[in-house]
Amino acid sequence: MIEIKNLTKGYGANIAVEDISLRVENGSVYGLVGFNGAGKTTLIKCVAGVYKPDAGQVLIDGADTFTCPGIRQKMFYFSDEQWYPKYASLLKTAQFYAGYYPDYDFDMLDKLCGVFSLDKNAKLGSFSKGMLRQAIMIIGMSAKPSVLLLDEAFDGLDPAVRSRMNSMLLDYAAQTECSVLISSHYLHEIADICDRVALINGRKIALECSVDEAGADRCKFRLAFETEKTEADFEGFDIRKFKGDGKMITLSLKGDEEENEAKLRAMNPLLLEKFPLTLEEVFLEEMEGSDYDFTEIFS
Amino acid sequence: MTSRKSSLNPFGFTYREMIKRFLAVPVPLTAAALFIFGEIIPRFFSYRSALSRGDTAFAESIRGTARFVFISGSDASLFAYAYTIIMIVIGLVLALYSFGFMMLRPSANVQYSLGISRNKQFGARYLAVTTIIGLSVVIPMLIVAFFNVAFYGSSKELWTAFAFMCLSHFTVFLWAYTVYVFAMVQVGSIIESVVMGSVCVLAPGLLSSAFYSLISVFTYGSPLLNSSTFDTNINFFYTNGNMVAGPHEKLFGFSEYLFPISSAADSFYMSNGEDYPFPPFAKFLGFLAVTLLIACAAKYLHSRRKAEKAGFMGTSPVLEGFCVVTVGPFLACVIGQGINSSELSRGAVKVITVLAGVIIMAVGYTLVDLFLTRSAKAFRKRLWNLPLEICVFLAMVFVAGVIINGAYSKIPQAENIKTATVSLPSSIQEFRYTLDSVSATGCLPVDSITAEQSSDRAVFEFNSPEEIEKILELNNLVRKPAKGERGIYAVRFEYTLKNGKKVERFYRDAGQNIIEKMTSLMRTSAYREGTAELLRNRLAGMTADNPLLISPNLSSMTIPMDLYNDKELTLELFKCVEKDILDGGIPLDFGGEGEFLGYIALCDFAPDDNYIDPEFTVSYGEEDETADDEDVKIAKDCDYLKYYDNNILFSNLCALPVTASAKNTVAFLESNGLMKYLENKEGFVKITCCRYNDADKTPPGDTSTGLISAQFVDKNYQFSVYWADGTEEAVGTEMPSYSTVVTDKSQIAELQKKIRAVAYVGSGYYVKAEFADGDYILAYMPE
Repeated sequence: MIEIKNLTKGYGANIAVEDISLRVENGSVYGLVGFNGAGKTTLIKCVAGVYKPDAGQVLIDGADTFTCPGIRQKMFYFSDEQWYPKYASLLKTAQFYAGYYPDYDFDMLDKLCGVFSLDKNAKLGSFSKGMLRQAIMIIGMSAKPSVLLLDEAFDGLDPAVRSRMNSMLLDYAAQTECSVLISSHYLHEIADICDRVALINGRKIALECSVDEAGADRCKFRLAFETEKTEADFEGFDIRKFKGDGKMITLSLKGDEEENEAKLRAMNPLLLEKFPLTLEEVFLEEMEGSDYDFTEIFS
Repeated sequence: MTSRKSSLNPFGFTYREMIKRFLAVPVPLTAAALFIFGEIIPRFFSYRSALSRGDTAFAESIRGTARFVFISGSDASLFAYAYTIIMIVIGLVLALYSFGFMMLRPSANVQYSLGISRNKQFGARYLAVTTIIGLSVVIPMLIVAFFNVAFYGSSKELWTAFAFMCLSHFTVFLWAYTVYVFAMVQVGSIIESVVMGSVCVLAPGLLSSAFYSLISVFTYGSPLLNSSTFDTNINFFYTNGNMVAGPHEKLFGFSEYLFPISSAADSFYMSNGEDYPFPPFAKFLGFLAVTLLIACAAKYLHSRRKAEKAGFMGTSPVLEGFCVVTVGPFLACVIGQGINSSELSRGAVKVITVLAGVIIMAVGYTLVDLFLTRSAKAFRKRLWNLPLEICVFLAMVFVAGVIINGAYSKIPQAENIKTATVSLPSSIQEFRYTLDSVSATGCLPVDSITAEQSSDRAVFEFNSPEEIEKILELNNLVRKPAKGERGIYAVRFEYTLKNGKKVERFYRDAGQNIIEKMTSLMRTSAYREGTAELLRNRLAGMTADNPLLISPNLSSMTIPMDLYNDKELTLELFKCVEKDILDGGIPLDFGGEGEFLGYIALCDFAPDDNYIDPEFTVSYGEEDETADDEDVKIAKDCDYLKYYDNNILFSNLCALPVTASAKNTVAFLESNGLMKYLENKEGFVKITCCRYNDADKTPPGDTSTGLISAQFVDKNYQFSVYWADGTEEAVGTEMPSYSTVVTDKSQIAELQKKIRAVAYVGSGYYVKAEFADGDYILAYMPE
């Protein structure tokens, strides 16, 4: 289990993450989403024990990851920038990691190499970006960690391999009760494999919930009125997003779905359609300033 | 399923991984070390080959009397320095390969996320490289020791030397590696690691050189420096190489014990002499302790290192500041030292040095910081470092210019002085207590007398109030020179006060005027008594084998064989010489009162030397057919003397000039029928005088005539004739055509009185005085 308590980390005067707390239970796959530079990688590096937090703590099974190096033997960190010993093959790299992981399983490595059609004796330097990510991933899985930290692990993978990796990850987490913390820009991917998700919106967590509940307290409506409407006409609603085109209005409202629908119907729309929000839509709604009107820039 | 559960020891695993990575390093280092220290190997095989041929004499000559050989030969010093540089470069490479992971984000991410603490990671890597360094040092030395055992047999001295060689090399190697690691754990990029690490390695030499220069510029009169430290060059690396025994060691002697590089080269000269002194193990153990302290500091800094530094430059303002403070003052002092010998006033030199320091540091800091941060905002934010760094430089100036200068700016009062000495330090080996450095081609009598006791120079102590006044006058002249009176001579004064204290003053750029005024001291009784005592000491070691030479000309000295076997008579002659020295009859300075007659000299080499056959047969030179065998027995040309440009310091001669004023000596020579050796020529028939001036580069007349050039090389004037066709030759055979030729007997007689045996200034007249038979002497005349 990973526990992050009031974590703050900055680079000089720039605070990357501030007072962040979250918990990843055993067997849980936890997603971190956020725009570029939001602090996801900083947070994961603090969890991995690479960075020392300025304040707060990161605990794995109750042990501080920065000060208790022993606990890191149960954790595998998949960095967004891959590293392997120079000129090493997949097997040699695995042997390097095996020196630091007491339960390293070379049988598992062999099997995973077979699944992903990777030659374990081939030099990693000759691998493509996607193959290298697969190789590092299966090397890490073979360490049989109880905590997996994956930073943009699925970038550059083709859909088939990504699907296979997702399955592998889910099965591994389920079978070994491994806590997985994964950061990604691919929201649909997070939605597919994560059971919980945290949205980092610049330093802080803007939203933290289970994936299933992400859009539960909000709903998107499309409305058509006889007369033109503006946002001011919808006073009394918790509007998360408003897009008006004269008489056609698209609204994203937070709050009880039935109650909001009833209130909208009371405004006598010619048309009212209701849609559930995807995780991506929730993510975009929470991003401040994400809804630029580029027409103004390019006009 | 087979799981690997072996590696629960990340420290051991890291150590083994690093050892595997560097296992090849000892191979090239062993090859390099064997090239430098393996002289014994070919010597051993030559020895075996000679033995197998049955040539035991040759074999024994190869074997010699040594008990072991680690390094020898004329290139030993060069090789030793080369090996030190190799160790430093490899130290850098090892540091980059063992701790370079910190400089790249991907590798830092992985290494710091592994299940090993930072301290253990540092320890495993450092220990692995230490092991490799140890192997690299010990393996070649073991091979050399093996051949030594096979050649000379095992001995305590051999294994002591082996242990010392291993210890000293290991220490220097580890020190270089550790300093680079120390720098690396503080910075975030490879380029900073290399540059700042190198500055740290050189820092002891750079800082001490800067401080030496500051003292040289600001502290006039301090005995803490000597001329050789700076006059030729600023050797910032092997500072110890230019350091000499002397009072300055009170201030800088510590460097020998703090900076292994300074002393590394010394260790290569493992004494193989008869006494086999015990090598200075303690010194290198001290270095090793310092190295381990640096390693501990590096380990601590590594444990606190922010991994996010990886790949970023300018993350260590402290180290950056240290580099600016180290290099800036050094460069400023190079400028200060460079202009210190110029015609500028001392005040101007001081101001320029300080301004140069401030400007160099400001510009250097700005360039370095902007390069490292590449951000005007970050530069402005860190700009407070600059005044701090300049303050460090000004503090150095303050120490050198105010504290130390204050201590050495005054000289004692005459009434407080018991004895005083003045000398011209001329050797990098020691302060010499004579005036020998002013003599150029040829030398002063006192130098000839003491030539064999160069390590035990006499001190002429002057104690009469008049002499002390003269010395104080000299000191004041040097201390506050008039405009244009600064020169190249180093002068040292030492006063013994009546309360028993000693006061020393050292000045490095006294002008020609001081030298000329010093000659007046050579006519004092104290100087004459001191010289006479030196002569007595020299004669005390004389044996019957020491031939006496008497000649008007140093280039063909005659051996009067009637005196050769008569030690008593020779001693009697020298007693007369001693009397004349005391009476002032024999000139001890550059001039002389009476007509110059020639030289008498005592030769230190035995007659069975190749040069002179004991049976009076000629080996080199021709027998004088005209000589009366019964009377003169033999007269020979000792051609080898000519080879040394008539310098009586060579060939172990104790030669003294004889003038007509040397009444006791002349009387003795006459009463024993020896004057013929001085008068066997009819006197000079032609004197050619050629003006020389070391400032002149063109002859006064037609350029085709040639030019006599006097060049101050090392501490001597060396004379050459440069001809129009570009050729150069020693003066003698042909004189330039702009020379003045005198053949008139009365003029020759006048000139003969002015001829000096030595030249000590950069201008005057070069004199070729010829005899009727074509033989000649070369001499000098003052302006």
